[in-house]
Amino acid sequence: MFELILEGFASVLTIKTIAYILGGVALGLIFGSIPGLTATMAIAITLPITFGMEPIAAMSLLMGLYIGGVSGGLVPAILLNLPGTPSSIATTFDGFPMAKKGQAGPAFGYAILFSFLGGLLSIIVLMLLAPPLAKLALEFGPFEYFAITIFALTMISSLSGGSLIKGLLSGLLGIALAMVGSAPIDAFPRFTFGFKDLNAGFQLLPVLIGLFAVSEIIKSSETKLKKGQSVQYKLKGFGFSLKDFFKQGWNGLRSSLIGIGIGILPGIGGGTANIIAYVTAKNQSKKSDEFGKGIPDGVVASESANNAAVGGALVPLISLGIPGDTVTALLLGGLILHGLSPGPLLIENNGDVVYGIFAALIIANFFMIAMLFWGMRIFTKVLSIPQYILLPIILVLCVVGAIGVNNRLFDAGALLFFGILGYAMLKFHFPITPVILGFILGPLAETNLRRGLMYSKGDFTPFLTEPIAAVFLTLALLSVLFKIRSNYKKKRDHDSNHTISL
Amino acid sequence: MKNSFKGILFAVTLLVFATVLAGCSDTSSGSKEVEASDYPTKPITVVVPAGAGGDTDANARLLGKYLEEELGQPVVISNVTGAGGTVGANEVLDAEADGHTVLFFHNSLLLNRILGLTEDSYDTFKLAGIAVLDQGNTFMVSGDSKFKDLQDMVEYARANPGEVSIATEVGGFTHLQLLALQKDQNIELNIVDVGGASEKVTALLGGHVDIVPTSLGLVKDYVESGDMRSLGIMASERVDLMPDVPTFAEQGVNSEFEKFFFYGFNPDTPDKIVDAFSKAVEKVVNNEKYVKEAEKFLVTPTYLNPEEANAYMKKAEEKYIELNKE
Amino acid sequence: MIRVNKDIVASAFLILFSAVMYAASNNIMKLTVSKVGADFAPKLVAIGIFILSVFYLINSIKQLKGSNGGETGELEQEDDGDQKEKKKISPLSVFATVGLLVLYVALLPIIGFLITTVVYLFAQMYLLADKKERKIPIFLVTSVVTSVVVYFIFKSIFFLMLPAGILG
Repeated sequence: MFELILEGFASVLTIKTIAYILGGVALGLIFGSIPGLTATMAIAITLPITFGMEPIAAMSLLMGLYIGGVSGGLVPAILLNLPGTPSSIATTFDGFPMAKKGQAGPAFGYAILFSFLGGLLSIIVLMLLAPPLAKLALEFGPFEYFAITIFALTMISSLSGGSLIKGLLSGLLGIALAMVGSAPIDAFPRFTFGFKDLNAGFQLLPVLIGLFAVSEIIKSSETKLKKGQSVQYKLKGFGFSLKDFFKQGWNGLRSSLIGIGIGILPGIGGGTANIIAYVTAKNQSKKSDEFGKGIPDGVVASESANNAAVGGALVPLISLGIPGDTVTALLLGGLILHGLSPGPLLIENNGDVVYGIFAALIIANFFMIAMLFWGMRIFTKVLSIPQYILLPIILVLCVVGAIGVNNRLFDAGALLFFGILGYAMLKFHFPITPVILGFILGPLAETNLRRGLMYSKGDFTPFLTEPIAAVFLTLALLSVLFKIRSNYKKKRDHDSNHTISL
Repeated sequence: MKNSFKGILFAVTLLVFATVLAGCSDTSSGSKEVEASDYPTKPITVVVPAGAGGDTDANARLLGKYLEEELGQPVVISNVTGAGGTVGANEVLDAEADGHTVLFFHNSLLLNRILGLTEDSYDTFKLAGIAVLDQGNTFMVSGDSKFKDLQDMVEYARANPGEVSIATEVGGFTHLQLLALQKDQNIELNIVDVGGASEKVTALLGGHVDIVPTSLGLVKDYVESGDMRSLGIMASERVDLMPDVPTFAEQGVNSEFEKFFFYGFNPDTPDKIVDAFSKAVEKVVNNEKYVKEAEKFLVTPTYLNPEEANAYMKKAEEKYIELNKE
Repeated sequence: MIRVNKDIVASAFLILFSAVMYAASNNIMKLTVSKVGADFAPKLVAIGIFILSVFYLINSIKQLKGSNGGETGELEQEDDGDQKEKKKISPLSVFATVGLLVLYVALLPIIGFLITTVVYLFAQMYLLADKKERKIPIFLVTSVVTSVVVYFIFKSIFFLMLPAGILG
């Protein structure tokens, strides 16, 4: 085992391969940090270039892109309140308030260091435990998937801000929006009202950047914008002490484990891992009231989880050949074209490549932290660009990114529609994150419900009698009851306070 | 006063700008009428209505790599998924008919019209031919399955109607294979939707279903590792790439299917351009290096020219319509 | 006060939305034999939205009555503070931005990426900036440079087919 790892490093430690990893991380960071562009795009564009390379060099480049693309999302999330990818949504919750308070430095410090640690931990887990973890993931059939998506959907109740009803309505709206287009399983169109363009439904990227970024740009036009803030951050190291670091230890570890666990399950993946880790951190914290107002714990939870999801997502890819999302699907395509078929025999037949991939991932992680660490001084400078120049440029990039998803102009229109919807929701004080959660999880829940019923020939009982499914459904029920109880308590406290003050 | 001045300045600059840019366009345009002799003049987008990582994607990318050499322009694979492939098909129909956007797809295109999902089918496109045939359409069981062979499974299914669960993607090519088997042997299976190719593998490995119909090329490693066994392939006779795998016909089941991968253009594309592309495909398919690489997927590179492809697909459609009748 | 009215508008809209959604669900084709078909989940979601919106409406009306008596919920107070912060909201400017965005996306396929983007960027910057900040030369240069760089990077390096429009 140890020898194999050393061999893996030996195969990657050539100047050419190192340069590929470095270039990959850099390009990935650029794509990840520009709202509208994603790791998926970076990999899709680079994939054809790798055909001419040696498999290890090609995979090193792609792994660099993957790590960079996932990590870059923290930059716009913290600086501009814009999540470039679903995996950095939760980073905005506390990262941006921290930056607003003048703590952009520490926010970056926490985000970068815990991205690195979460990523590293997940790669170690991937190296040591991939086959048994993959076996565990196989246990998840439609009943289990349905239960876990329902459990994840209950996170909405903790993300609703002031009003639970509004949060739930937002979540349902997200589910409803995801229903536009072909129905799962039988593919007949729903809610398309005869428009052919709607048959494909809405893509996640236009929905996400429309709701978060475009709405923000519309909102910024409410007032005339002045010059940018002159930014003076005193950045020393990561911007926090060793004591602060150890305070986040358990939070970082728990969030990483959540990221790995969710990353392993194909289909749910990084987009939701950061939100679930954030909600867990909030619910477990003694200072849960401070979440959303700029507390480092929130940034740590989100960023540990989304980078840990990378290693998680590679578990089923490498040991079973099963991709969990569009990024890993493209990686699978790349492996296959190099004559490597991921699956039970990959480590046996092509152990050199597999350990090369592991080594490349570790090296990419180190490049990532180095580049972001040196880069954070430059990133904070972005804020000194006047917003009235920065925001229109970001909008153009969002439009280009939306078109790039499927090469369709329709998606640019959808982007605009969701921008206006997002703005309306801001004005009516509806939380936006539940829409995204509903949009991602709704179709998964529906598909697996219907698949499960096909398995059981219309019988609902397996959803309750299959052990894993039952556990998650119970957890879902408990989390809702817990939320209702704490809301009730809060209200009562509030009412009694009120009477006293009267 | 100052404001109105700025407003005018704003309008004037915009106007000047638009004219300047429009002026520039004269030099760069004029290439709109593409001469067939110049074709291709820019990168070619191959629309693949299937996700990355599957067999359609893999074949498209491998062919693309060699087509690039023949055509002298980059060949870009664009995965456009959704609605059983109709979204990708529409994209090619909506694209400019200049030969720079082409569809790469398989049998499912025919099924979409038969099932009433769309009006379009193979005859809506101007075909540039078939490039690859996959004869390894197989039914897989897990390594420790109680079914020794196909006949064993059929007998069990006959004795226990609706007991044997078999995975599919409703409305997909494999769905048709199941219907054919049910009809031919007069048995009833529990048909379960599990999704695309990789989800089928998961379902079988996880023990969620008994049988999974798929392409042998996608699961050959699992056969080698002993996790899966093939019940046979739906080819007319044994295939050289997999001589040990019996056919369905040998085992008394009359069910033959061949997966074909074709290129299709917007119907308004000039014949000369389609011909040029078709010639390039022919050269690639006859390229030994390509054939060697394609063997990894257990597919048979086979070039059928546009007329042959049309006739072939027409025959296939008739057969599918017959099977879909209940 | 205004906020509570907003809540009533929003809940009324959502009730209407759920009704339309339910009605449209009845037109969904059914292929699978299963009782739980393609129309099951949409109907469930529509009913869910309906029930929650009714609650929301009742709550809003209650609060409206309550606020007359001078008693407001916790949420209201927070929002009031929020609104004081940005007093000078200019709806005209918001409409102009939305209009500009609609025009941009609509004209993209007709006029092409380069020209539309230059014009959009310039106009949007002009619109967003405070009057004292309107530096036309900087805006012009930024618009042109951004558009050209984005266009050529995406077209030549990434092979993403941005609409060329009249530049063909």
